[in-house]
Amino acid sequence: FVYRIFSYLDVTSLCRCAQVSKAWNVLALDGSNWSRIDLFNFQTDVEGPVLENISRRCGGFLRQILLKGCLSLTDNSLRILAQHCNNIEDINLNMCKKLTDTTAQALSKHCNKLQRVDLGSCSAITDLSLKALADGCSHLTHVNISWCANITESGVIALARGCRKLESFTSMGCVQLTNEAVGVLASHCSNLSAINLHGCTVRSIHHEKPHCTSKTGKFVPQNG
Amino acid sequence: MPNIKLQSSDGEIFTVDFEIAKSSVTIKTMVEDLGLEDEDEEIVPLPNVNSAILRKVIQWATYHKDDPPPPEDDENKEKRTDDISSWDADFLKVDQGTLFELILAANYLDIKGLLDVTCKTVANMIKGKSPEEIRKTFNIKNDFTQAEEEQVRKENEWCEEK
Repeated sequence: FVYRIFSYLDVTSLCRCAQVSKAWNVLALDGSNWSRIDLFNFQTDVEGPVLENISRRCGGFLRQILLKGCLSLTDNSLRILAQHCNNIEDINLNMCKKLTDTTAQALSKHCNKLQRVDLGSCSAITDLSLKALADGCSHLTHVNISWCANITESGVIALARGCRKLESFTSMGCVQLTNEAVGVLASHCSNLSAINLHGCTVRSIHHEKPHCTSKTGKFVPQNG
Repeated sequence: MPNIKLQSSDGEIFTVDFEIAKSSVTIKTMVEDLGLEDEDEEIVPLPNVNSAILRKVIQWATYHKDDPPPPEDDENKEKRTDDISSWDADFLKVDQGTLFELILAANYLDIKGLLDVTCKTVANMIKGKSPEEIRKTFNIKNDFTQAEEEQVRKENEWCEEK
């Protein structure tokens, strides 16, 4: 029942419990307490070694990790996370601006159960990231690549082909996207119910049927 | 079968409405498996619960007898500890030894609602405290060497607001 008590504790309390005694250290740092971690409130303090420590603690227990705004994180720390924690289903890396395609490649290789990924404002990533996710993470349902201006239609088309379970795709400000890419998403991913293309200037029109209707860029595919 | 007799580890017998006793999955299963439903005089022995604790447990179960069944654990949901009712909070104003015995009893008797609320109460005793305050609260000896303590402090200092 000690684990049951610890399951009610937040990250800060667990870290303090870990300093109480040797026995408490083992109990508090047991991976079963660490299946969901939100480090948003600690973002400026989360540096590589912290994430690497957490990766080792959590191992396969980790399901959800929210690292939004942890600006100092690098590909190397994310690689260690992916290697240790193969069962991640939900990862938020929004604003982790140092990350590159290497991170997505590590996720693709090690985290095949991934369902939700937020790479918004990871402005260094390119189509290679989407291609990697398409190869390794076929269960993806929610993808956010907003403000990743390097992304083009070839990345999105690869994603659409690899991740047929997509339900939500957000690419605000991805100025290189085309109508063609959106059309492939709509035709390959029958569960897709939300697309946010706010700020995308669609450059060419290959489809006769307009898929994108409202001004906000909210989009509902018409064929299911 | 309206009533059931429960016997504590120290031999005291409690007569309890079966509808109330059923909130313990352990007792419910025992009665069903042993086919005691038709027998009035059968006594269910509970060798892991003493009379003081069993009395508290029955008091709790009686007050909560009309509660809906507690929700299943959802590991994807943030667990709250600030939703303890005022009756439960008063009920659990007991010394630490009793609180821990109640947890053990709730665990053994498999009464999820009581287990949840007792564990939450202990979690609230931990929250917001420094490692040293936690040691004092639960009378725990610091068995780290100075070097080890410094090491774990460093490993965990990131979680402290600066």
